[in-house]
Amino acid sequence: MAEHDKHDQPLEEMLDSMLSNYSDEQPRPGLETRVLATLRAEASQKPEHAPFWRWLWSSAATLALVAIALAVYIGRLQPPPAPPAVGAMKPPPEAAPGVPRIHRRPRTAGDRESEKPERSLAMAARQEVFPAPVPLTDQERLLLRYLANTAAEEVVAQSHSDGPAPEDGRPLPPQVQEFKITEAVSTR
Amino acid sequence: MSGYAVTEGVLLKDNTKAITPAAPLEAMEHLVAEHSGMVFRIAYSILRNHHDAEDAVQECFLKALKYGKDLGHVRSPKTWLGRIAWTVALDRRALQNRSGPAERGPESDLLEQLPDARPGQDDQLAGQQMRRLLERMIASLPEDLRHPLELSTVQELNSAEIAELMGIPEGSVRTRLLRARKILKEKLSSMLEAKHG
Repeated sequence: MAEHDKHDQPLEEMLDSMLSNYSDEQPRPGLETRVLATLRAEASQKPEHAPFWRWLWSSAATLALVAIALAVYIGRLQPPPAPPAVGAMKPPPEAAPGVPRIHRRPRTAGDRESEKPERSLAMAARQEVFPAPVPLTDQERLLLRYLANTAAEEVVAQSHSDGPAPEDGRPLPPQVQEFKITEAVSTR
Repeated sequence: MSGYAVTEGVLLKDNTKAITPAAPLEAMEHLVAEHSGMVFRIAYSILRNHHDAEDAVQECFLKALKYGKDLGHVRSPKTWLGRIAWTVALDRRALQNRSGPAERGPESDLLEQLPDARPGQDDQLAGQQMRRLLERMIASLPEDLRHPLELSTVQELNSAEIAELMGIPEGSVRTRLLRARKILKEKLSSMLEAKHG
């Protein structure tokens, strides 16, 4: 052990001597001056950038505020939008192939019960005779008068010019007959 | 940990005096005057080149300047700057190794060039040769042993400061230094035996 230490001692000293000089270096003269010059140059550049960014941010914020104020003001001036017309309503857009479709909630018994009063009101409003009896218009009267005063074969011939001629003694439609009678009564 | 902020692994107090906008540069001037030598030697211990080490010093102080008003809160400027210098130098060395690792011949070649320690020999030349031999031996060490050994060659740093700088316990620094020295002695011994028979 002692021999090993004796052998180790010169190596230890040699290594110590080598390591002591390993980083024992001096920088070239003027390193401090060069470093300080670099630092001063760097420090003098910084304030030039700061006001520019500050100005940019403040102007952007002001513009955003003005835009919001304008939007609010214009929104108040405009009348509320009219409800969309039924014809103008568009069908819901088709979902994209990859997008899952949203299913509507199935109708429940409660929904059906709530719809019942509306349906009964609509049923009550339904009239006994459909369509509702209304007096004849001038055009309808003229047409009926024409039909009454014109021979049936002539009317048929005018409506079917290329077809075969109708048989004689064909009965007039009941409305025309009825109109004929009323016309005869009124002329008397 | 409340009341403190961590910057580059070094604790900063937040109860120190307020700093005026002009103060960072004044604080930096003080730091440069006091620690530029140590910063240079830390960088040199890793980069092994004057020019690269000086560039690392510039980069180190520029990084420190970016902390601005927080500079006044630094608890231990020496280890804080040492850590910045160490990381800057390691980054530069990694960059150098990536761009083109230096050719390293066998250590025995350098040993052959070593002049015998006889009177009349050029001591300076012998010193340079010995230094280059040591550089290669240290470079062959594993990283966890090499880093504390390199930092231990900087005279300004003791083992406690190396531990704080590296962010490891002081006991680990001492253990790693012992292991690194043991490996170096073995290498040195085998090389000397090979030379002298």
